[in-house]
Amino acid sequence: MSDTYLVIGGCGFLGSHIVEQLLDKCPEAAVRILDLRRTFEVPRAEYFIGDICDYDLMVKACTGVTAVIHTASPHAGVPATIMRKVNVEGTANVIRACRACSVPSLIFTSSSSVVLGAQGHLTNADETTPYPTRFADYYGQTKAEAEQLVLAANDPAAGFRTCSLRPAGIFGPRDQQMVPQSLNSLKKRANLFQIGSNHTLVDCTYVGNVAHAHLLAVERLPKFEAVAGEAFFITNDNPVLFWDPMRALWSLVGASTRPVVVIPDWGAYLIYYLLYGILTALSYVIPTISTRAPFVVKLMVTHRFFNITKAKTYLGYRAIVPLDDGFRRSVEWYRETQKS
Amino acid sequence: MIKFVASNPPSGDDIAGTDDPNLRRCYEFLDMTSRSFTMVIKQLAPSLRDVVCLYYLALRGLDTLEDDMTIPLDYKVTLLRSFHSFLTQPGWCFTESGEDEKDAPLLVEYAVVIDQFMKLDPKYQDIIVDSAKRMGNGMADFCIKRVTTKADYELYCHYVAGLVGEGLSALFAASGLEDSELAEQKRLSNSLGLFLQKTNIVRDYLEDLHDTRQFWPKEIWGLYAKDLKDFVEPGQEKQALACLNHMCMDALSHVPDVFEYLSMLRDPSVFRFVAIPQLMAIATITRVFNNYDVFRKVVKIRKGEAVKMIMECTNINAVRGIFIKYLYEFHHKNSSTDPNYIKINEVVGRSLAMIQPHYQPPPGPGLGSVAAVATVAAVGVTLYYNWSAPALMLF
Repeated sequence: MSDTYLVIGGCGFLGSHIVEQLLDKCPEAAVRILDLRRTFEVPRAEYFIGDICDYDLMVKACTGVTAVIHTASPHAGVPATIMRKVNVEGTANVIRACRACSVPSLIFTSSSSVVLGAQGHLTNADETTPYPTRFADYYGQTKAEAEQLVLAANDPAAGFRTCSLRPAGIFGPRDQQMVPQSLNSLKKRANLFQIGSNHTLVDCTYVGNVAHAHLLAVERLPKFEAVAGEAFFITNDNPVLFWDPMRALWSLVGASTRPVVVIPDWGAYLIYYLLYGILTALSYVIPTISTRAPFVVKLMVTHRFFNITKAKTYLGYRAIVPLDDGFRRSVEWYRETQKS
Repeated sequence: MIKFVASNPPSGDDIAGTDDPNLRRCYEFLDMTSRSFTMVIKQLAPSLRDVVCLYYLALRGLDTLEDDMTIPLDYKVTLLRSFHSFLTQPGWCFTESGEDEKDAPLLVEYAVVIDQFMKLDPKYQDIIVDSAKRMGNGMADFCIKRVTTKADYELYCHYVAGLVGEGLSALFAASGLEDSELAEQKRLSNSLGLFLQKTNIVRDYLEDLHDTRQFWPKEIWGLYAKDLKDFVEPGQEKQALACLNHMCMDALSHVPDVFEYLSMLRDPSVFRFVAIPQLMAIATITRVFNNYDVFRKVVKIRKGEAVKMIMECTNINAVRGIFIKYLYEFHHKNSSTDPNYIKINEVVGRSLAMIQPHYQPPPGPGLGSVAAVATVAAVGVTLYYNWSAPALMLF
């Protein structure tokens, strides 16, 4: 009997790459896609259109499945209620459906932001890094809650194994965020400004590498006890300075990468505390105001890069596409979308 | 330089005062033949100083033969392949060097080196003979073939410099000053030598071109020109820089290994011996990077810059600080019109990620942070009063 895989969020950015790699690497396998809308067409997939909170639909999609790959997550910036509904309640529903259908493996797409707190640098952070007491954003908080649900559900004795992958800064073709935002920002001449001294190291990861890590997890989770119930950071294993990914994209479309205005690190902190002060003061008047927005500025001067030894050791993961190839492929895709 | 030696006993004076005239002559040869190593060798712990001095003179002997273009090829190959056996052959010397060979006196009086070499502890002799044997054979191989592929380039640099790194690690371990495990760190030891050698090869483009030597691999320069000497031609500036930067990127890729190695050292004199040449290399490769002067004249770091680094090179944290400074400068010099622009930033990022997390900046707040704190306080106070006043009025 051949394997059947269900990719939740299979029409999305990462999900679609996982679907492609599954179809390519496992030609005999059946691939199912569950998503809100049918926005990604592949010939050999079965589609289940609907919400992950819909239990009946989930059970239908999970029946007879070898492994569920759960990539569904809303974009950063959606209202908190939706964030919670999809990330936490949706994931709980996925786990229930997997258990009901006796699915042997569940691979959850988490995020490196589950360890991103409001304070401090993350340098060479590995999986022993605890969840922060105060999260940098609500997205990270809900992803962390969902990840904990998934890992707690791991129950090899009952034939149910789970693991969680934490990619950092995904980019690539069909990206709705980093690639188009960086390139569109050229219209606003964003390349002429630099906030921070650009001494901050960050990780970014080509989407094909993240998809590759998911396929490795699908293969190894049933075989290796050491993978079950565990979380793994996934990166390109090549930290770069904060502005480099954007400049890489800009350089590939021939734009200047030399900023005219540079605000040094202490200036960035100044802006942060200034905005934070204003918003905090305002929040006394208008209680609904969030004081989190200036955090973006602080992130520009905060190290965030990860040690992926665990993924290399237990998943056999390597970044098969180097960053520069990833950026080239991204820009090629972006140019295609601009033509049509 | 003088200040450095004087402030760090044992100084050169101790050595000059040695009773053995042959040993004194060896140190005179060290001063004569070495541009940069004499000072770092002399500051080594006494148990290693003579060993490393003789190791240097053994390899310098080999190098002098390799460099001499007047020796017939077959004869040169034979000499290089058997050089290691001369080290234990009392009285051996070589008087057939070409007239221009400035290090020829060393080979004429080589019996002095052999005399001292044979007085070394046999454990050191074995390491040095083995290293000279492999280096001599490697050099002989490259007398016959050219550096064409990137693999050739790696191998050539391994023979002439990587083996030195491996040999030194073995000597450090044998002396007991460093952990015995250091001798097994072949990859890291090799990288130490490769970073220095590649930096010199990149910097010495013009000099080697005049001497009709060619160390840049065709697999790299072939991407940018039909002939390696085309880069000095007018109109080829862009291609020349692209190739130069590709070579710099390749050299820089050894930096993470260099730091992994440095973090394993525990003896302060060994640390300085290893770290100082690496500091010169990072400063040089940064100066050379994206600098068309390499194709016009000799590019060197300023003497003051070198002295300052030598003075500051007291521990790994200081070395981290200097590397970080140069890596930022390297990154800043990178140009988005370079075909390897993105890759170069990746190499810098990998190096920084290896160094930066462990770096402790010197204590005391910088002027910037003082200014920032003061401004934040001022703004905070102003805001507090300005915002709370209208807010209070609402109630």
